[in-house]
Amino acid sequence: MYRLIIASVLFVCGLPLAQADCGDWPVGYDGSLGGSGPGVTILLGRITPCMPEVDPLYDVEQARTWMSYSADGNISIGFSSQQFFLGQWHTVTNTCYLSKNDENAFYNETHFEYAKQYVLQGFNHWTEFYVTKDALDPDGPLVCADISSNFQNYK
Amino acid sequence: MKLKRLLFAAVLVSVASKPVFAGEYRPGYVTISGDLMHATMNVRYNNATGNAKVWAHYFPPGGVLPRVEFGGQDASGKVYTCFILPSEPIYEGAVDIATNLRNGAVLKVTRLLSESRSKCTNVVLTMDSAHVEGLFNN
Repeated sequence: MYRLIIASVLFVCGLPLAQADCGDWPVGYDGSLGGSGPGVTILLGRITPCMPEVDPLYDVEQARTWMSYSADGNISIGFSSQQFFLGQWHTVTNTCYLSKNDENAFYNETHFEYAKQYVLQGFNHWTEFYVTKDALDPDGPLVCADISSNFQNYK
Repeated sequence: MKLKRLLFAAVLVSVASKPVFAGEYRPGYVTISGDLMHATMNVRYNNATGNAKVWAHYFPPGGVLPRVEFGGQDASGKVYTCFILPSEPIYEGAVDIATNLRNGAVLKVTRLLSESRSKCTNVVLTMDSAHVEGLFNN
């Protein structure tokens, strides 16, 4: 009997440890796609390998964020996640691009260099990325507009 | 008897404190095929790949032969190398990539196969959350 009591106490004491290990991530999504505003579509990427709860609308096991830099002068940033709609799971991917050699682009070399630094610096488990892309011309290249990051001590 | 209780307690605590995994994770790899090498920095954590590894060497200006070299070895022992000289248009970008490889990096390199010492024709660095290794993926 006393063994059962000891085991119960240890188990209950261990539960807070589980929360501490996982961190107090807000209930939400990982590598998800955000909303839209006038002229822009907001992409949101959050690198969260550990969440205490799972939003039923997102399968965080399948969420990804990636940032790519090519030595010949091209950048792409993308997010994907599994979302449930129309009765089934779908992989939703959103990507934007920058090219150093694109003379017609509205952005300048400084913008490209800043974006490049984001890719080179990389990310870790605490990083959130906020990226907007130009949605004014849906048929044109989906240019990465503003890029910002946020490091929080969720863990 | 005490030892059994301690072991029992340790198992219970470890089970209770196991973190919840989330986010896609992909084990590391190095693949070499013709003029292409695809490699991830987290290959070092994947025992199934044996001695597979990936590297980038930067020899800055002022030395005997300034250049950037990229290379890797796949699970079967096949080795891939190529280099980029300062006169190449992709040199600056290659230096950026060679000096910033880190946890989460995926490297894609292409080279000329027609030369005995191959020139790299392009290098692409991708930082991918699925390849961030460490806290929760071991």
